[in-house]
Amino acid sequence: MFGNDEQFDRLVRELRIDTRCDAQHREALRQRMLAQFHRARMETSAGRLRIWTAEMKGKVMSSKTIAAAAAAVVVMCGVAVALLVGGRAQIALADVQQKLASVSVLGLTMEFAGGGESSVRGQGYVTPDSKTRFETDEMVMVIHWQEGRILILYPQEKLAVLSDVKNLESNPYHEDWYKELEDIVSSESATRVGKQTIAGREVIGWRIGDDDGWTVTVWADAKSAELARIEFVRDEGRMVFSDFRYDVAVDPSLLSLEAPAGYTVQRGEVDLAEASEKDILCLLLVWAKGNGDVFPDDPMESWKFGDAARRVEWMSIDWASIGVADAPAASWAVSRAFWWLGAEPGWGYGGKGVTLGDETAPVFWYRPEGSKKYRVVYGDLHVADADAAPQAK
Amino acid sequence: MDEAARAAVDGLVIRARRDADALGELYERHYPAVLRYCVHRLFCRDAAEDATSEVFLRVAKHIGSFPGRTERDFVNWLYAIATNEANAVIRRSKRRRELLEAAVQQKRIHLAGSTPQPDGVLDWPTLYEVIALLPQRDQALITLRSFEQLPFEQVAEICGMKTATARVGFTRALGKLQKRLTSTDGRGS
Repeated sequence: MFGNDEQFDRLVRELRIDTRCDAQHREALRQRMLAQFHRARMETSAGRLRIWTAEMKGKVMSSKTIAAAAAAVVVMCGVAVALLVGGRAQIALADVQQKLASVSVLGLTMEFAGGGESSVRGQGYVTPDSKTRFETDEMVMVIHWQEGRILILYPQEKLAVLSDVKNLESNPYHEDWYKELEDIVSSESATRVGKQTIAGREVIGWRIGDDDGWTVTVWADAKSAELARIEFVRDEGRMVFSDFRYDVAVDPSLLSLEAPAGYTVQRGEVDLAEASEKDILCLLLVWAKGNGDVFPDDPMESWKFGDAARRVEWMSIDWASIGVADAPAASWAVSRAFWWLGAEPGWGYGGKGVTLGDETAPVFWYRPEGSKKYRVVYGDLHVADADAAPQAK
Repeated sequence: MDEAARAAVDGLVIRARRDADALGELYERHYPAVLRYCVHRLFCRDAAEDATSEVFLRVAKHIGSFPGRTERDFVNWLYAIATNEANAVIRRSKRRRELLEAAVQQKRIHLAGSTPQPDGVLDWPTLYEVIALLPQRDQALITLRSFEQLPFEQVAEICGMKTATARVGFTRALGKLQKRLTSTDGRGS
């Protein structure tokens, strides 16, 4: 029959197995896949917004120490809002896109208001060469996306934190704000929503994607095609980009990573791509702490995670117990963990309803690359090897 | 493929994280291979198309966070997902034989390989039936290597093992297959 692999290969080739494609299935699946792609992008965007707003308004800003690094994660996560539906734009929106493409420095105001809580408002600048400056009353942040470097200034404390972030671009929870704006005005799902007057200017609106509960409306000057306002609305959450200013003359030092004179400079390094087991532990701990000491139904629901994260007393957690240095490190770890969960298909979760501290209940498991055994995380966050994956309840 | 063309295709993989057109192009390039692999793993055409659908829907959901940067990375990811999906289909069918019998009963099997064969020459349904009795890892190794004609290095990457392990595993799997085929009822012990 066959004596070696070459003979077997020949035998296989002679089988004449029908693997022809069915054109109807192929086309139908293509459409389903692209629809799924758009949905996934919406969910990711919503998650980024939620994580940002939760941490920005809550624990991060309550402590200058943790804020130094954590805010970097958080704010970066934040304005990465958009409905990232790439592709061809409608003709009129294409004018807005073209106008944005030619800007040198774009100034804008960002404001977030969520369910009955204080709002966050800040001024920002973004540039096509991947530089961003964003400042609130309490902090200033400068990001050089391509270089993966972030400077955060705390004027009251005269503290500057300069972080080198490896693999910034590979982590989908952090995106260049300018590119986010590009994506918004490149949407192929945009529909016209009429005209109105904003700050004395006649503007035309487009609504982009209503999937996942989010509505994004872009308003642009009817004559100049310059952006005037972008509104993101979902339930109680509302975020607005406004006061767009094209080709702003900005002092280059404002977009520099050099700390102003008189600041104490702290330096740090973070790798956003190399997720590890402790990152997962960190995510699970924050989830459970913010969810009434019960693990969530689904750890991937980044939208709900934002709410949980806001309820956590970040500074009071014993991070060392799970191998994480401190709260700022935990904030980075959360981002990496989300990235890892999204990229790796081979993990399992059984934490729904499990109480934090339950040492008998398997909550999360995965099989490390090249390993025959599974690593199983239990409700008390201890980790053990197992020959087989636990059965999710 | 020359270097420029390869770089262009690799660029597609990076763009596909946020660009539907790029993802669509990758889909057109790789749909046939994924379907072919699923047919080889599952035999039943309907099951193979369903599995192919699951693969690409999963890709669409996670491409935004896919860390790979080359087409090779993307292809390996596709095969890894397809392997998991095929294994899941088989697990859901409890036993491979039940899947086959059900498929036969429902007349859903595409017996393109059922052209009468000379005596002693293996046909596709018979070979599949015997492969289906092997452990899933062996099935994947044999299919990826002999049906999809992938190099051992790539088979190893897809299966998450060292190249030498893939090579040895394949040889052993082939030995098991040979043993089963030469047993009386074609199924071995």
